[in-house]
Amino acid sequence: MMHSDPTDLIHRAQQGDQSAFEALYHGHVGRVYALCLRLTADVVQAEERTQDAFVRAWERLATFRGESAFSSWLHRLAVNEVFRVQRATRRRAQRVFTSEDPGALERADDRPDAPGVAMDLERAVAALPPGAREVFVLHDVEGYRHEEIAGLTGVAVGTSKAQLFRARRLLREALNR
Amino acid sequence: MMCPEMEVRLNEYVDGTLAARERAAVEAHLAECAGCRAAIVELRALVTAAATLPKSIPPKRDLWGDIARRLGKRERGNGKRVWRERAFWRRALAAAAVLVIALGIYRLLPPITAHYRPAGQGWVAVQADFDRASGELGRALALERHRLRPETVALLERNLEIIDAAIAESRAALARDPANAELRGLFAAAYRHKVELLRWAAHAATS
Amino acid sequence: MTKGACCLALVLLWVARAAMAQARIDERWPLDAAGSVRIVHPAGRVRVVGWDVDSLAVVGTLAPGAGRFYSAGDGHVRKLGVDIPADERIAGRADLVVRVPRRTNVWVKSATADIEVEGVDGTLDLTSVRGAIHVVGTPQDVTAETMDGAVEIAGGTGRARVKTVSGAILLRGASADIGASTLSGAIVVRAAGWQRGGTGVQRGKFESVTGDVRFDGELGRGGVVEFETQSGNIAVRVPARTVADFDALTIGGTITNTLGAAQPTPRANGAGQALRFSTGAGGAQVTVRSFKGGILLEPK
Repeated sequence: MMHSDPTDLIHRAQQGDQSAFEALYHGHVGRVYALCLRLTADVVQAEERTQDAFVRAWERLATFRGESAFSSWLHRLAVNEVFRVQRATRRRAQRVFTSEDPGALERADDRPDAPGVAMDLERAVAALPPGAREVFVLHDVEGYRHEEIAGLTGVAVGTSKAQLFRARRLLREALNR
Repeated sequence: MMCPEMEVRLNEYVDGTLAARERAAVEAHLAECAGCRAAIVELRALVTAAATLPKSIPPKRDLWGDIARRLGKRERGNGKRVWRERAFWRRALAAAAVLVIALGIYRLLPPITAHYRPAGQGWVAVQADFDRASGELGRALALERHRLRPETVALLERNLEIIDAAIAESRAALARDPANAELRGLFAAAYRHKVELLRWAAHAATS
Repeated sequence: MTKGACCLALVLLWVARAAMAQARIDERWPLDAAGSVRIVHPAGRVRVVGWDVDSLAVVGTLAPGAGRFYSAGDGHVRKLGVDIPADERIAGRADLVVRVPRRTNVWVKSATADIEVEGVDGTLDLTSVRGAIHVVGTPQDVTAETMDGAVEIAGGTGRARVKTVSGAILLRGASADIGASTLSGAIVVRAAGWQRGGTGVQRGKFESVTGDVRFDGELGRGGVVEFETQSGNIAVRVPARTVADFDALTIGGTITNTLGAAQPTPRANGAGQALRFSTGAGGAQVTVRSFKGGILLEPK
């Protein structure tokens, strides 16, 4: 039988069925939240961006044509939300956040229990400078290509690579300490 | 200690983005340089660790309420509608029963042309998912049953009998021949029909 | 009778007739060539007809108790329909004919109303609880669901997905990608081949529990078609020259094959019959599964 598969839920949500959208939310929120949490290294921001991403998804569902997987489309929206807000915040603050942000490490502790190595890595990632962290999360954790990252963040491919290698260097140093 | 001038190439080597000639050059360097060999090991470990970090982290608090309120604002412009989905249906879906079916079953049972996984823990879990899903949907429906027209209730009961008989039949056959992948496929199909029927009825009850 | 009493009687008669009278709908709005319309129509019948005009026109009648006609929207999306009070279980009939630009995307939801769509090329999403659904034309994509009503999709859709509980499903014409699923209804597919403008079925999935499934038509080259029932019989009739790999299996039924010389064999492990044969390389792939229904493969 043609079951309530994700396509069916998406279709229903596109027709305005909020309960179908809620089911999609429950099916995807963990992935979206993980992405936002790692990109922002901040629980409150991650929650807000997650919510923004789903609201944006609802608004734009009509434009989802199924060329890509729904999850990829949704994650892209989430990444865009994170960068949209960060750009605005950075403009307002007239400065770039640095790894000296003392809250980053503590906030990362809010994550669920992870095995030791993963936890150390999570903390080290959270403590990276924002630019390096974003590229590392997108490339090494989420599997985006540099070309895609360049498109999403507005940096050149070369910069994306440089940030990635820098992130890996900083992480190796942090984990070897 | 990695040779500083090798950083870019070692990273690209690990990422597999080097051309064959450059790759060979890096390998030649690695054969001679213990520091870079150690760095490669660390880089590989790091990349693997990053790729295997949990892809999903549940938020500490429920974010749906706020999201729903923001969706609600946009929705209210549509006017009141008899057809508005009712809260019970959202609850039923929120239990993710249908999603469990949609995602779970297909993970374990690819299309009938594909190779089946052997019987095991996964299959037991899928059966349990089905029972849970149909139980949840059945309970949700029982609450709203009075909203259905008598002829729809009759239709529903008739078809529930049909599907329950089909499920019982497949289940019995499966008990006799538990390793039969075809039977498992047919059993799963019958259960999907049941979940669909309950879903349908729940939809109709909200109409 | 006094003159006053006469007048009163006339007035009463007029009031009574007015109350009995059907409300008439005749409205028109501009709508983009590829706009969308969402229709909620509880009972009666709604016909959506494509036309070569960039506007949406509704004509029809509402019987007493049918509720109130409403409409809202703009040139991109228009919503319209009949609102009935939430506690009204039995709605009066409303009959509407909605004319829309051909490429419009159409969404209709009904309770008992029959839904008919003709000559619309956009995406159709049609849902009814007990009404029938009838589509004629070449829509890009059709999703039709009804619990008890019959569904007929005729013409040539790019993609069709039909689901019923007990309603019969008839799919005929030159559609490439079709899926039908029912619990106790029957499924009949008549798939046109290239000589009638089709390509044969490229992708098909037909499933039922107790309903019979009958496929009569052409398989697309390289197409993938699957049949699955619990107890319903499955009959596949294709041209004798069809090039395909067939893979049939039934646990409790029997397989009859007159399409080729190959004959079913008892399954190696456990009960049932299986039959696999090929009429040539590079053709369609046909998979037939039934728990206890009979399987028939024959030339048309």
